[in-house]
Amino acid sequence: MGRTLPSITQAYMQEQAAFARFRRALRRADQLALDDLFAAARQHLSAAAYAAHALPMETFLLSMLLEEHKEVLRLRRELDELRGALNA
Amino acid sequence: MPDLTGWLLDLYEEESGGLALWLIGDDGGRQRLRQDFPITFYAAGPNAQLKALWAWLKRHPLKPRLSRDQKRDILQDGLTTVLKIETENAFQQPLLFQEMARQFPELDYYDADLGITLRHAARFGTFPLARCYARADESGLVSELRVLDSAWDLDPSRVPLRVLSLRPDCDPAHAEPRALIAAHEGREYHFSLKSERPLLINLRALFTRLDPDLLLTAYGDTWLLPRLMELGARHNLPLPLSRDPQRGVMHKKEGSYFSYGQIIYRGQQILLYGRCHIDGHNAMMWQDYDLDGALENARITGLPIQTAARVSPGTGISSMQIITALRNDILVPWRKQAAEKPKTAAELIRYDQGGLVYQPITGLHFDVGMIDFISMYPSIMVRSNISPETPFPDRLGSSDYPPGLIPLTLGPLLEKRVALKQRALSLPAWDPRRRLDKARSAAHKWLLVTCFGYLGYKNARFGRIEAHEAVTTWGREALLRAKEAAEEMGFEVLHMYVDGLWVKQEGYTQPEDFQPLLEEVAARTSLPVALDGVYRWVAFLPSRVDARLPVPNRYFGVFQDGSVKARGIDLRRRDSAPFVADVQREMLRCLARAETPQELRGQVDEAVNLLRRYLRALREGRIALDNLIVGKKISKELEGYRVPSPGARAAMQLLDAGKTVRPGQRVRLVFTRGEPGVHAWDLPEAPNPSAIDTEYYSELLLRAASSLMQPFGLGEEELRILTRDDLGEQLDLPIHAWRREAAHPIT
Amino acid sequence: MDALTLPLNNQLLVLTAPHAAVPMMLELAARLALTGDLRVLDGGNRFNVYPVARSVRRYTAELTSALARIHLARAFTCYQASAMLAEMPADAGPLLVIDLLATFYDESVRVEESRRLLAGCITHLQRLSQTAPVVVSAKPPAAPFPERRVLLETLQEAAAGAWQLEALSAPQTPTLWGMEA
Repeated sequence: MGRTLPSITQAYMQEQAAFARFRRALRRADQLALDDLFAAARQHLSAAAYAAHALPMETFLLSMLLEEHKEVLRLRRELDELRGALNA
Repeated sequence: MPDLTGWLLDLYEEESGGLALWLIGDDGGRQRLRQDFPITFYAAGPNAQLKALWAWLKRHPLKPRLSRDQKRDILQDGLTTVLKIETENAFQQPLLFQEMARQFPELDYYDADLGITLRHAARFGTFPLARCYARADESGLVSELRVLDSAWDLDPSRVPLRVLSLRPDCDPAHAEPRALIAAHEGREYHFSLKSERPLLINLRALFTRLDPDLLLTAYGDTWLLPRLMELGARHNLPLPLSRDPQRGVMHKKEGSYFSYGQIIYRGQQILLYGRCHIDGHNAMMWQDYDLDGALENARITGLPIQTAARVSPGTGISSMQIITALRNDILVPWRKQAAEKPKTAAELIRYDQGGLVYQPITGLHFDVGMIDFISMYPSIMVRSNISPETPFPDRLGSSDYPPGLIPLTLGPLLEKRVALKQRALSLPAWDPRRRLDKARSAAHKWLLVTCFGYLGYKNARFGRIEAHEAVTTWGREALLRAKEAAEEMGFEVLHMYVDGLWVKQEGYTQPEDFQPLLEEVAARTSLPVALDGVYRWVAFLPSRVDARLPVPNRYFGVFQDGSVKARGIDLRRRDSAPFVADVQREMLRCLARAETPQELRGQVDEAVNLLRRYLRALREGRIALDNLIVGKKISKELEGYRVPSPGARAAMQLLDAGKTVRPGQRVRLVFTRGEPGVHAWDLPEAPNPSAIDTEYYSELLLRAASSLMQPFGLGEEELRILTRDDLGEQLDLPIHAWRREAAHPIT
Repeated sequence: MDALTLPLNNQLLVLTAPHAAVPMMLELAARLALTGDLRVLDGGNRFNVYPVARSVRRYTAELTSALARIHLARAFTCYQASAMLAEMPADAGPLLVIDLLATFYDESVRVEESRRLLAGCITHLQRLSQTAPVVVSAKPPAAPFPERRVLLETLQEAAAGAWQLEALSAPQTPTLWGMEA
């Protein structure tokens, strides 16, 4: 009752659909990478909803960046461990 | 007549004016009393129109008493000038009002269309099965009435109700019943329907001898009572269904109506006077609670027992609000007019949201605590004083303003719920109060669950969208504070869903370990919070479509005490076949037997073997047909379907067989091979067992089972391979050797 | 005819379209919010803020202040719609009414009652259009309810200008990557 604003999931899907033409013109491997980015944004939909941004795409982009950075941190850690193991 | 003490069973308007009250006396007698009860209601609006109404009423045969007054409409500022209308004849008042509303549609009306029991409750504090003291004269006219207990008592006195149950020997929709079975205090009586006169004579004798207070039937509204009434008329041996000799029965016709764009079907109803008829198949919540729950519902809502058993919890909540309003001198509007105050577009984004939902970390987790706010939304409504007339709260858990209508209404209910919950924790298993407490709690739970939605319901008399939004706003805030508390105390938050969160921390496995967190959350939110339990293990499931996508509120797990909890998987859906749900449940119980991660691997193998055995049984036709029944709701008139759904096709079969199907009803069917693909269950001919589409049911089962097995690396494809007929039972390699890499493998 | 070319003077305009011309009304809201306060009465629970925000953002970076100029109220029953229009003061900027008839088509309200309420609404719409532009969008009733058509016709007749719009873009349900522009 009363829900007028589309849910954050709907807003997310609309933003994703808006990039359908861009995606289509990409190479297959690049398409899959783009899908990963959008899947990453999906991990933080609840925070995006709470943020109540008038332009939710900005929040989704930040979420993608967040997940990318987490991956970088993870890789750095793994790299350090490998270096440590080699040097031992 | 001597003074009378007893319990109030029924209350209704008498055609000559005043009310009839039925009391179950302490002396074992059933007494019918009369009481004068004038009805007051109001009209408001432009002066000229009120004057015209005044003139019209002065000429009306009922001769109502008229006066001017100032009363409070909480949805408006200040006091409202009203025309006060009083009549002695409660029975005629609704007709008077209907005429009035037709003649003067522009006016606003208050207290005009309220159930008589609600008005009586507001004046005397009565409620169904209330313990009362009454003083009456020789003719039974009441001069004094006092209520001796309260609907909020934890242990109401036991009412010596005489209950008679009556049912046909089979489902009338399926086949023509051949006998009626009556039962009373453990004894059963069979009456053949072939010999109609003996049936009527014996039933009449039984009725007269037992004089039941409560008639519990199966199909009583839709088949049994209409049939008995018809037989009684035909043989001139009418059954004394109503206790009141001056009244017959009240017959409410069936109908389909719109609610939120959906069609709801309501069957016809047969209501009695001086006795209560409850039809187990037409009672709204009968699957969720039984007679004790229904009686508790009536006590708390103030609705007559027969009505309380049939209406939705929304009507129950509305009744409670009406009683509170009347008691506190607040006008009850006939139609909700008040509209939303404008908000800016930016505010809409902030406030038009639901509960906070945090995606889960999918996969299998061990030693997880589940923390729950107890009745979160109602608690917020009461403590933050959220009501149509109170300002938007500026904090959680308290308010500077005097309590509004909603907290006044919900407060006692919430208190009783919490008290019963706490008592349930301390009562020993053998205590007889446990069963009753449980049944009553079910009634409370449903009312509480509904009251929040009702606050935002467009037709609710005291609904207000801003209040609804205030509740969700503060609910989100409460959950976020809980999350912050958990993280500050070193917990990992696995999942959050509106009013609950799942947390874990290395080494925290016992309920005591979570106690400090509970206290911190309670302190930060001023709301009651409890530990639902500690899971030995819980699996959060991803989307069926894409395993990378977490899905909220979709999980299953085992508590430390061995009990199982599951959400969002097929076994809870109303439409699925009992067979699918049963196998899923058995597989879940099988998994639940594991106490350690190592044991879990073994149980996974067991569960797959179980699945394989059931699939074989299905293919070999060893599954009983009624376990394969699926219920499909018909959402519109059959001509409205361009491509008939399975439900529509089954409905058309029923129509061809001469049966009626209304929009909103559920049609039971089984899936068959080839065309038309379905066989309606309620057709006179049973379906041919060898025609059952076992392939389709296998697919349904595999799909349901894959939800359970997914966290262990077994999806639908893997299960299909593992359960193939030709592999048979020879496959005794550990199943997990066949798995692909799971996202969170069992280590 | 689109949001940019619609004539906005002090008069009552009615736009009829199969889905109540929601995209055009949202675009109108965005355009009006750039230069002043406006009121929106949402009669069909359709006011999706996101396209409005995107539209405003194309014209200006001052998104927050523009959105603050849109004053929105929702009517969930025709009684509410009627009461809201009756209470609305004139002289408070343009008024957009989205999908006015949605609640009047509600099957649980008798046709005669809907007609009575609508007549009242039209009086107030005309009152408000004396001092500000009033644009009302509406859709025709669903096929099984032809007796409700009179509501749409009454509304159209009361307008100074009435446009019938083709289905520009019906509301699309987005699938995973399903929509092509």
